[in-house]
Formats: sequence, C-alpha cells, structure tokens
Amino acid sequence: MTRVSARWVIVVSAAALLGAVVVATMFGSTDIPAERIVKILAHRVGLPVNADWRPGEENAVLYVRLPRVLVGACVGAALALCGAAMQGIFRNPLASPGVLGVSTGASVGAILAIYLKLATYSVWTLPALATLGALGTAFVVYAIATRRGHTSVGTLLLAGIAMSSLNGAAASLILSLAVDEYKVGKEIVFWNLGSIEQSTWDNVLLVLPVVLVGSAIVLAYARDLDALLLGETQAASVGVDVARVRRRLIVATSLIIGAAVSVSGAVPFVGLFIPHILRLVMGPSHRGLFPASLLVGGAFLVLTDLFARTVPTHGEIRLGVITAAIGAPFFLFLLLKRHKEGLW
Amino acid sequence: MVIDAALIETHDLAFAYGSVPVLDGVSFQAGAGEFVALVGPNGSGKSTLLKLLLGLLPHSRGETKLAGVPLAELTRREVARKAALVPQETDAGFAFSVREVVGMGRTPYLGRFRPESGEDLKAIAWALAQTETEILADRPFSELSGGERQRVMIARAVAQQTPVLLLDEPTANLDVEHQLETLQLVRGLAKEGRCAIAAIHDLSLAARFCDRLLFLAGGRIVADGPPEQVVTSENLQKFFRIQAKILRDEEIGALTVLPIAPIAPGKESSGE
Repeated sequence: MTRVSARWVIVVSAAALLGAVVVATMFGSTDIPAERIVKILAHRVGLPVNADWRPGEENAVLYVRLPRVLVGACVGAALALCGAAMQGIFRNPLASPGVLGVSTGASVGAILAIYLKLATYSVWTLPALATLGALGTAFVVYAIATRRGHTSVGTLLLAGIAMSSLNGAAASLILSLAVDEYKVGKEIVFWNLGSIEQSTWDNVLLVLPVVLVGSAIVLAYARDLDALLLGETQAASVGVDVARVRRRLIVATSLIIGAAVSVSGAVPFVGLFIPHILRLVMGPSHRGLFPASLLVGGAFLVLTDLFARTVPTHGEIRLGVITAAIGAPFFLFLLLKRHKEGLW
Repeated sequence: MVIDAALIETHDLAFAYGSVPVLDGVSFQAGAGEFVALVGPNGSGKSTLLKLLLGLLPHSRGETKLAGVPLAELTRREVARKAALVPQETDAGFAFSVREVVGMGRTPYLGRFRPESGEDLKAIAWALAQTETEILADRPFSELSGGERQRVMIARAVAQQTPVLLLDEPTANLDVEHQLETLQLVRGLAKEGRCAIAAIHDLSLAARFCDRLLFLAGGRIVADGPPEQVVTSENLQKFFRIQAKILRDEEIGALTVLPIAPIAPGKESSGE
C-alpha cells in the first residue's frame, strides 16, 4: 500500500484547480494572455491600470468566461464531494447522486420548471424545484431502505434504480408533452445533456454559497463516516449517532446536488469516479478525501468544459457527453485493475 | 453478588424484537476488575444483551446504569466514553491502516474539525502497546488474519479508555492459540480495573479465564456465579440440552466440559 499523504494531495489538487481556472479563462474563441486577465480584473476592482485591451476581451473575461469557469468549478466540486459523501453514508462504493436517483430527481424538478415556463415568474423557481426533486428522491430511497435505524444497502441501490427509472419516465413524459412547442422541447433536451455554456454571475451566486455551506456541513462529518466504514455497530459503539448523521448528510448532499444540477443539467459520472481515484491515491479517510474531492472535481470539470468549447466541431460538444465518455471507460478500467483488492 | 460502585448495573431488563420476546427480567451488576462471561445456548440473547447494555437497542422495560448514570440520560458520545464494544464482525473491505482503525477509538473525545491532540496520540500508542499490535500499526487492516484483526479491534476499544469493556464472541473464528491470547489479553485488561463482559460460546474457555459466569437461557439469567457453580451437568442438561461430564484439572484449577450427547426432545426426564 503506497499512499500519498493527504496534505500533499490537497496541495497539489488546489494548485491544479487554480491552474485550471487560469487556463480556462485564457483560452476560448480568442486567446487572452494571463497578464491581461489579471489587468482586466485589477481594473474592474478599481486599481489604476492602463486599459490597453479591446472592449471585447474585457466582456469575454468578465461576463462569459469567468462565470462559466466558476460555475464549472462549483459543479465539479459539488458532484465529486457528494459522490464521496454518499459512498461513505451508505458504505457502498457504488453509491453516487446518479445511482441513487438524486440527480434525476433534480432533473425532473428542473425540466418541470422549464416546461411550465416558471422562469418567467422568478429565476429561482428552477433551482427550487430541482432541489425539491433531489430531496424528495433521496428521502423516498432512504426511507424505503431503512428499517429500525438499519439501512439495507442492497435495498437502497435497488430503490435508487427504481426511482431513477421513475424520474426518467417523468422527464420523458414532460418532454413528450413539450415537443409541440419546439423551443421548449429543445431547451429541455439540451439542458438534459448537461452544459454550463450559458452561465452568468447569477448562476455563480446561486451555486457558490450552497456549495460552500453544504461542503462545510459534509466536512464536519468526515470522522463519523470513517468510523461508519467499519460497520454500523462499530460506528455506534464509538459514539456516532448513525441515523442522525445519515439524515443530515442526505439533506446536505441533496441541497448541493439540487443547486449544482440546476445550473449545469445532467453531468454524469463525476461523483463516482473522482472519489474512487482519490481513494486509490490517498486511502479511504474522509478527512482527506472530502477536501481533495472538492478540488479535483472542480479542476476536472473546468478542464472538461474547456475541452468541450475549444475542440473544433459543429457547435459545442455537451459537457455531460464528455464526462460520461471519459468517466465510464476509466471507471471500467479501474474495476478491472482493482478487481482483487476491492474498491475502498 | 453485591459490589460497591458497580460499573455496570441493569435491573429488570426486557427486550423484544417486535412481538418475539428475547430478554425478560435480566438483572445483574458488575464492578471494576471483574471479567464476566456471558454463556448460554444460541438464541439465548447474549449479543442482544450486550447491545442493550450500550443502548444500541431500546429497553422495552427496566433500566441500565453505566458507572452509576442511567443509560437514558446519556448521549451516544457519552456512552462511548463509558463503555466500548468489540463486535463480533468487522467489515474489512477498505484500506485503513491499523493505526487509523485504533485511532477511531478516540472519536468520542474529538471535535468535528479538531485533529488528534498529544493526549489522543498517547492513548493510541498505549492501546497498541497494551494489545501488542504496534508491530501491525502501519499495515492495512484488510490484510490481517482473523486473530490479528480481533486484537486490533480490542486495541480500538482500549484506545476508547472506558471503564466498561463489552465483547461479543471475541474468540469465534479464532484458532486455539489466538483464543487463548485474546482471552488472556482481556483478563489482563479487566485486572487493571476495568469491568469486562464477554459473550463466550466455549464453556471450557469461559470457565478457564473468567471469575464469574452469567448463564443466559430463555431470555433470563438462570445461573450467576463462579465457574464451579454455573457449569454443572445439571445446568448443561437443562439449558443446553446436552449430556456432559465436567472434568476438573487440579493442577491448573480449571474446569473442562466434555460433551457426550444431545438429549433428544422429550427424553429429558429419563436422563435424570
């Protein structure tokens, strides 16, 4: 077992996230050097800087790339953290917001909001419905799998799959009702493929606080989840109130997922494979795994999104397509490699 | 048996899984320095009793006190500072090191974001030394043998620094050498001033290492006392439904149970 110390992993992944943010802000339809970006930012906060750039560049940095990059970082961080947390809460390497139906729950809420054109009343309706969808699905799945304080993991995964299908059916139903109106139908389809293309500072303001507060709550339970990996009785015997920890973390992760999905659509696989790679590198302790998942998840999605918008194709490749295309084969490779040693 | 300042004390304890009664009217107390064996046939409620004593299952009736404080008044964390449990089974499908597993015993003392203090590290080192597991400290828990794992789980309980130590079948799945090692270790820990209660399947081992046996059958304590009083052919016939000879080795001063044959249902009386 050659493990890299958690401190190292966290330092390196923090540098990676910072690097990803800088690079992704530099490149795009026109390339803007890093020093000019720094100058634009300095100018924006009122420092005396000689404004020697074209106005288009300032617009691209401040109102297109930066919000998009920050939303990408938040969504990636949120998905990876929630995946790591759910795997710990349910003591199962397969758990993730996607597998438990929480992501599709959020999607149904969001699609419903698009279909009903609720955004014309308030921009907060879509995130609100997405969060409700995530929370509702999580609680149905958890309640069905839990008897007398004991959560059966097999039942949990099956209930998650069933709820995923149900949510998928609901989404399809809404979509088939929506195809009459071409614009709404198209919006739903594209939203469902996952993208942070249209990100604005409003999106940043929605997702960033939720991810920050939610992450703080999740991080607070790292030690309890470590104890829980040995078993429910084991955790209870060292003073962990297992049922309470689970309930609180399900609420926290559902809120985070609801916010993330509402600004990005469906972005699969990040919550599953980032925590697993990190466990291989640094070991299973959640005290290191959680912060590392946040940073690496953020960096990964920022870079994936950079790829999506710079690779020359007709129009952009959707983000969700790329994460699944990278994530799924890599995960299969991981399964093959780790077949003997187990996934934790 | 009356003990000054009992560390664990339970009175008229009852518990049922749904409508199936498991324990009914269990009362006993035990104090510092005692190593008590819980014996009894399968399904007599030994594991259930241990869980009830820790508050992991709710009492249907009766009351338990840990170090003089009623269980109902303690939070999970507070209970974990008074009593530690070595459960029968531990999942090992993850790559925690032995030191990390033992360190989990400090959970009830640690704040959410506070790293281990010098005192915690001392407690961990001491637990590793007590259980002679220092040599395993940096190995992955998942790669240990059954006997080593059991020692590590006992080390975790020792790191918890509790006056009460509960063990659920600590010798199940171990070979004879490791059974002896484990029970010797627990007896040593009890003699240092803890109160240790262990569910033990093997009557000869229980009689050999414990000063007191609690015989549990049909959800009640049917015998309570030193091995000679509890392990008798009458009790084995009545509650284990076996014919057995009790042999006594004068040199070691220990009892051995020599099981002979099960008693077929309905033929109990003919054996008497």
